[in-house]
Amino acid sequence: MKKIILLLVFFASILVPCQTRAEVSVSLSLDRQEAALSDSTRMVIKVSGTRSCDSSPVIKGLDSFQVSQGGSSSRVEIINGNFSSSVDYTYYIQPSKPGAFQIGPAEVKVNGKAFQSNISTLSILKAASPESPGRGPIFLMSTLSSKKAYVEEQVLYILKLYLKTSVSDISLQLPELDHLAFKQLGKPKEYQGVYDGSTYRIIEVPYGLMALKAGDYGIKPSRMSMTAYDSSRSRRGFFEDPFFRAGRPVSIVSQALELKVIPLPEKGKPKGFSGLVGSFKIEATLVPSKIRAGESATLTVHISGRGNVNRIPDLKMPGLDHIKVYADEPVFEAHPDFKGLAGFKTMKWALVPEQQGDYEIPPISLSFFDPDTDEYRIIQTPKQPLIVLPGKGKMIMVEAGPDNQNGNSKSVKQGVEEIGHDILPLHTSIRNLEARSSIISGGLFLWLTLLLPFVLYVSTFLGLRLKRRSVRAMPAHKAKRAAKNLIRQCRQGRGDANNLSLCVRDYLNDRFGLILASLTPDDAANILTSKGVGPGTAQKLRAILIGLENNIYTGQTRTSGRINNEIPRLIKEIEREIR
Amino acid sequence: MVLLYVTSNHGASADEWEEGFFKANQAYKVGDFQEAIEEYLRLIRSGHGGGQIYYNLGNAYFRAGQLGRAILEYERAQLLMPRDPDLNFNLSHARDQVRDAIEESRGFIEAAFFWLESFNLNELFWSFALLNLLLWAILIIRLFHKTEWLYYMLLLILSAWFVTGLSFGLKYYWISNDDRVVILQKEVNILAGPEEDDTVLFKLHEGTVVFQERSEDGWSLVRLPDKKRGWVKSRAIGLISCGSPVTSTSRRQRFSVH
Repeated sequence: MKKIILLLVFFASILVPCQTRAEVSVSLSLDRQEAALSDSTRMVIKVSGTRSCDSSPVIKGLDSFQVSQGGSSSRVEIINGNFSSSVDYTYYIQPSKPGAFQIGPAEVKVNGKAFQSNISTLSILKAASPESPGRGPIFLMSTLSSKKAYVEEQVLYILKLYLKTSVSDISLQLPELDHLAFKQLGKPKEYQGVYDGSTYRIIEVPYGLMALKAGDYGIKPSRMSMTAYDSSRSRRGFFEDPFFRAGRPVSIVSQALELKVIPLPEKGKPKGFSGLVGSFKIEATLVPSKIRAGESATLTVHISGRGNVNRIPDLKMPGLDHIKVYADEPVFEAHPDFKGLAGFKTMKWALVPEQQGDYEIPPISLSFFDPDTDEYRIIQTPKQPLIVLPGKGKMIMVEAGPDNQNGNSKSVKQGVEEIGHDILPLHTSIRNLEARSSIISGGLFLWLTLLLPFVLYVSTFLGLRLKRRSVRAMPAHKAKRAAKNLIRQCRQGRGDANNLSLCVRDYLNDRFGLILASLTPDDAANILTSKGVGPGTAQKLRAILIGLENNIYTGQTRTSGRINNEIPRLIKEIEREIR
Repeated sequence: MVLLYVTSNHGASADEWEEGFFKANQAYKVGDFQEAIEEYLRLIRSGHGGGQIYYNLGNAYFRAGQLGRAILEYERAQLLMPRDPDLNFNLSHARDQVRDAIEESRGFIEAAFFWLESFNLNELFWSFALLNLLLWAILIIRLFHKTEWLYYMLLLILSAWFVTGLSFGLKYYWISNDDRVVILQKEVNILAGPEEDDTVLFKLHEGTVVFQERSEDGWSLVRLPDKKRGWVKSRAIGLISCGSPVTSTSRRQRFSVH
C-alpha cells in the first residue's frame, strides 16, 4: 500500500509541473507547396501543449477547395521526465481552380483561449492534357465514338480510369446537359493496359449518349472521386488490405468533349416515320402456311436492331378480306452491351380465314433512319402465302398468345373516323307532341292528385274512430234512454205498478248491460251496490220495488203519486252516484 | 254534355296544330328554314307542342345559321325530354361550335342529385304521385290489417316517397329559378354598367350560356361561372326557362326575344 501511494505521489510530482509548464501552440502544414488541379493535398493542423481542444480548428483561405476530413489524433510523450502532448487534425483539400492560395491561419480554442497558426502557400497548376506524358498514378480519360451524330442517334461515351495504385469508394459524377441523355451500357470492365510506356490497371465504363435535340453540345468533364492508397507505403500480407492503411480522398476529372448533333434530314422522310434511328432488320414467319377454313395460323413479325429501340413502333396488320385477325400483345426487350443499346420487338397475329382459297398476306413495312448511310430506309417482310382448305364445320379455335387465352383477344379494329359533322334530323312523329303538360299551371289538379290519397286516409281513420267510440257509448246511451223513459212514465203518472216494475228492470238491464228476465228487490239492491251506488240509495230502490210488488200482488195496479215522484229522484241520484 | 264539348273542341284544335307541325317540317325539308321557324314559333305561342317542337325549332335555327337561338331551343327542349339521344347529340354538336370556353360548375347538390338531369318535371311528379298513392294506400290497409310485411313495405315506399318528393321539389325549384341565358348575337360587349358608353369588361360570343342576375330598362346583369359579371342588352340574350312549363306568363313575355 505504501508503494502505491509513493508511486502516485511520484507521478503527480512529475505531471503537475509539466502541465503548468506546457505552452499551447498551433501549426499548419501542407504535404506539398505545389499541386495539380486534380491532386489532393494533405493538410495537418497540429495543436501542441494540450491533449484536447474546445472545438475543431477554423481554417481560413479554403474557399476554393473541397475539404474532406482525414481524422484527428492526440499524442502524449514522456521523455526523460519531459512531458509533451499534442493533437493533430488531418484534412485533404482538393482545389476547384488553378492559382496561388494562402491557406490559414487556423484558429483553435483551448480552455476558452484562442490560438492561431501560421499561414501556408499552395500553388495549384492547371491539369496536364491527357495526351501529355508524365501523368500521375491516377487519371481519367473520356472518349466519344463519334464527334458528329444525328438526333437520337446513339454515340458511345467511354470513361477509362487509369490506376497505378489501390483505390476504393469510387464514385462518378457525369456531366449534366439539357437534351442529352446518358445510359450506362453494362457493368464496368477491368483490365491491364499500357499507356505511355507504363502499365496501368484500367477500369472502363461505357455509356450510351443520345441527343434529343440538334445543336453543338460541349460535354463538360466527368468527375470521379475515390480514396487512394499510397502504393510506396504498402505492406504485404494481411495489412495490405486498404482497411488497415491510411487513404486520402482523390477527385479527378476527365477532359471536356464536344459533340455536334444534326437533325434528321427532311428529304426522303417516310410518311408516318416513328423516329427510329439505328440499324434494324425485320423478319416474318407464318406457321402453318396451309390450314383449313376456321382454323388459325400465326403470323410472327420480329424486328431487331441497335439504336433507339424504344422507338420501334407497334406495326399494324392491314385488313384482309375473309380473314379474321386477332392481335397479340407485342413483346419488347432491350439489352445494353458494350456496343450500345440493342433490342427487339415481336408482334404476333392469329389469322383465321373464313373461306377456303389461296391468300397472300401482304408485306408489313418498317421505316428507320440509318446514320451509317445517312438515309432513310424502308424494310418489309416478304409476302406470305396462305393456303386455306375447306373447313370441317367445327368450331373456330383461335391459336393465340397467353393473353388471348385469358379472354383478352383483340381483333384488329380501326377507330371510327369522323368524316363530317352535322346535326341529326327533325322529329316528325306527332306522338307525345302535347307533352307540354303544365303540371304547375293546373295547380288544383296537382294538389288533388297529391292530397286525395291523404284525404281518403284521414276520412277512413276518422270513420273508424267514430265507429269505435259509438260502440263504446252504446250501453250508456241505452241506459240514458231507459232512464228517460222511466222518468217520463212516472211523471205522466200513467204507469201501473206492473209496468213500473218492468221499467225499473229494463233500466237496470240497459244501464249495466244485464239480461235479467226478472228482478227481485234484493237483486236490484245488490246490483246497485256492486256498481258503486251507495247502500242508502240501493235500499231506497229496494223499498220502492217492494212497494210495487205489494201493489201487484194485492191487486192495486195503480201506483201512488209518492212512488211516481220518488222514482225520478232516485234514478237521478243513482246516475249521479255511478258517475 | 260538357265532356262532349271539350272533346270536340280538342279534336278541332289538334287537327290545326298537327297541320302546322307538318307544314313546318315540310318547310324545313325543302330548306325554307325561316318559314319552318315561324311555324314552330306559332305552335309554341298557341300553347301546343312539347320538347319535340323546341328540338325541331332548334334544328331550324341551326340550319338558318343562328347558333345562339339553336342552343337556346335545344336547352329548352332538354328540360322537357332530357334523355332524347338526338337532342343530346345536336346540343353537344352545337356547343362544340361555341367560341367561348366556359367551364360548367356543378355544386354539391347537383352532384348528389345527379339523376335529376335525366328526368323531366312531369316524370318526377308522376313518380311521386304514384308513390304517394301507394304510401297512403298501405297506411289505409294498415288501419284494418297490420302485418309485418306491410310494415317493411311501408318503410320501403316511405324512403322512395321521400327521395322522389325531394327530387321533384328540387327540380321544380331549379326550373322555377333557372336563370341561365344564351347569348344570341355573334359577339356582344359585356359592359361595366347599363349604359352604352360604359367600359367594356369582356366579350361573349353566340351560344355561350351565362347566368342572369337581374334586368332593368332593357339591360341585364349577367354572371359567368368564374364570377365575372357585367351588363348586356336584354335583347342580346335569351332566357332558357322562359319556355319551360313552370315559368310564369309574365316572365315569358318579359324575356321573349322572338
